[in-house]
Amino acid sequence: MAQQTSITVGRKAHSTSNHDVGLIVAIIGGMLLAMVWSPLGWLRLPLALPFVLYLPGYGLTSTAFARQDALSTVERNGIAIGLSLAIITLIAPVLSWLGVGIGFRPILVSELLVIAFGLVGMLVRRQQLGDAAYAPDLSNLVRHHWLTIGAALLLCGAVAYTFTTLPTAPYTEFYILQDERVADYPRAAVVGEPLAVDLFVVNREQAAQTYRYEIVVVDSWGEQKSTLLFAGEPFDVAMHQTYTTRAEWQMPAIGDDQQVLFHLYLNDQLYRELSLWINVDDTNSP
Amino acid sequence: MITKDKHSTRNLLLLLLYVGSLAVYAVVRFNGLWGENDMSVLAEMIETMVKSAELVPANAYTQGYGYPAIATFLIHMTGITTTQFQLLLVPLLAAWVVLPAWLFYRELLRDERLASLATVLLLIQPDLLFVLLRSSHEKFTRGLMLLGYYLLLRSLRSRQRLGTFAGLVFAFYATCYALITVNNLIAISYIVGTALAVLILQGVQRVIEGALSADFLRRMGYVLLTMLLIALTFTYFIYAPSKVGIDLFTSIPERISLLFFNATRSDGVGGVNPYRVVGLNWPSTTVYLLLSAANWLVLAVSGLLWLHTTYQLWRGQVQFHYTQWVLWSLYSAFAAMTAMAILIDASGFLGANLQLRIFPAFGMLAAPLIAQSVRLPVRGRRTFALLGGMGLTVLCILSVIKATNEPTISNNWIFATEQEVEGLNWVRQHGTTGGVWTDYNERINKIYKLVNVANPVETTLRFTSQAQLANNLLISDLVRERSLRFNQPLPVETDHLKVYDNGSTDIYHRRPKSAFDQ
Repeated sequence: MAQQTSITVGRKAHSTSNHDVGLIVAIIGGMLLAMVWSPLGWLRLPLALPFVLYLPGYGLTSTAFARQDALSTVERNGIAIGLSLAIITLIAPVLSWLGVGIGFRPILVSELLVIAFGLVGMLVRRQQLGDAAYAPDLSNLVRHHWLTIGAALLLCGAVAYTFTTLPTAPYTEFYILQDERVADYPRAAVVGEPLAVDLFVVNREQAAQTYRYEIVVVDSWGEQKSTLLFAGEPFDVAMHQTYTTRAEWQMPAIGDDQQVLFHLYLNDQLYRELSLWINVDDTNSP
Repeated sequence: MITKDKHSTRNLLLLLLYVGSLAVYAVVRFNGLWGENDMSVLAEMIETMVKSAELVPANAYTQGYGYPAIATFLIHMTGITTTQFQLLLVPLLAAWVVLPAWLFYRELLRDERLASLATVLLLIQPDLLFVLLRSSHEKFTRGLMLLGYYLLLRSLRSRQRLGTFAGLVFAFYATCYALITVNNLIAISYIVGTALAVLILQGVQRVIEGALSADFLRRMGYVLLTMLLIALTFTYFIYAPSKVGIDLFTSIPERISLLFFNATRSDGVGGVNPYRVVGLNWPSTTVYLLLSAANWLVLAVSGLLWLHTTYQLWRGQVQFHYTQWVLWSLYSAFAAMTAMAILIDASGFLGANLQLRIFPAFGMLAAPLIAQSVRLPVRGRRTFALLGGMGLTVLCILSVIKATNEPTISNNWIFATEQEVEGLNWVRQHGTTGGVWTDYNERINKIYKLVNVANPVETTLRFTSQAQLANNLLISDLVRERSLRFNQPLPVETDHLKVYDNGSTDIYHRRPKSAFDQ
């Protein structure tokens, strides 16, 4: 079926010029434009993929198998991708041995040269073979290959979806530091002595939020197990912004292993919790 | 002459969409944070090549520059990062394998409908699906192997047209060279398997006179010799890291096993015992066998069919076309290699993961062997096709569950969450010395390294597997679930300080015990 289609298409093609060459030039032009003009940057990925993985092999395949009945369309596509991969593995050591390195410009220039070489060869062979040459008629592409185009668009859509819409879970980061480090947190204190840590709230909720925080001490040995030490006022944090404050409190009673809890509230619901352990004495021990 | 199928284009597109959809599913299921050791290590090698622009950078891949080079070309041209390439783009490239597989099977079976069926049987095998979907060189090695076989058979069919024949021969050697550069050891084991097949055919020629033309066997001999020469030249003269990799293996048996069977030492890196991990990675052997049903069915059915065919050949009851001889001999050769690999694995003498590497190649040949024996009955054709389709769908779903290590069933979790990565970013930014514990295995560490491949973590973050030595511990909802599933206690002590909380990931800091602790 595929072979028959290509024969029919090919016969019509000769008189309607080299549509595939036009498409290749458009792909390359679009890709180069997307590389230099940022508003079109989103086009770079979908155009660079065929530029690297298909076009170098397509030109060579169309040159080596110039007769339309030499291979079917599926065979041409399979070989074109395989040859494009092979070309990379041949170009890479050449660039390295030439001393230009496997960088952006050497890759771009070498791939362009290979594609140009393939296209020139293809056009020469088409000229020689006339009507017998392989020359797909892209003007009938939609009519003959609507399924192919649909599948290609679906695959492109899948790539686009994968790259652009991976869901980002909304969340809030709540943490405490001492001098920008995860170290040297208060571990011992005297009753009534001021203690402090730097408290941070990072809003990654995809919308502005209003938070507030409290500091609570839990003394599992004491009579009053849980004591509110500080209740802050509500504060707004814009999306992707960080709220920082110096959280200060004093330990109310003597006792080892007292747990200081930092509660973060969102919409008056307890949302996040942090904790420190502090031994509290009545005097500074040496 | 090949029997055409008017639906072949539609079938091919459906197959492409099937693999493309699986790849999208694998990426989306884990929110793009799906990875394991090989992907992480390869990402580091790619990043080094991208940054240094050298073919042989400091940490070059010892088995060939092909995959990092393909990655470097794509990264430079598309403008994406190495992390995006490895985590998002490479799984989607798995779809390309459909084309060479279908083309090879079409040449072998001389029937487009059977080629489509064989491709389906290939793509429902979970072990092959796993290596195709993950971001490693294997989607290229397997695809190039299939393309190489196709080009070889196609060139045999095109000898009367010199131009086409020459083009196919050129494409064949270019493909072989690409395969060797992507992974020279897999390429050599492929050459050895093919050589073994040719030896089998030489034996057949002696027993069944005229079964194959002497010209065909001679050409196959030349082809293999050329391929082996290219592979050994590449390994020993063109790409220095390959030789270094082989020189690490001191004894001759080890080198032979590495070169010709693509095996690594049982105590070497990557020397995972595939038989032992079944018990660790899956809740029970029954579940493992059920999810691997496609593998075992393909193995068992193809084995029975091969035995039946071989018996018929022995009795002279069937006549083979040369492509059938090729399939039969290749299947025999790779079956023998797989059997040898399992024996060697079991003995622990040379390697521990031989069958893991050779089995996918064997599966590639088992699929067409089954497809060529499928005969739809004249009566009840539709019912038979419907039941077959339903059976394949069930096998496909089971295989996808296994290939993606679906965490609701598998214990081998190879994904992380954005919040876990963010938690580690915080430790990296603010943490001090002492190391960080992240999970009972290296799940998070590998993905974190992959995500941060452009900004290596080694100098700023030290992972430790010993919780008692860690200064900070990352405890996430996933770690808690794993703790319950493995019945292992969380390493957090009552008096650890909880200093970071993002909802699903907490960072605990060890409570200082002395004045010198931080």
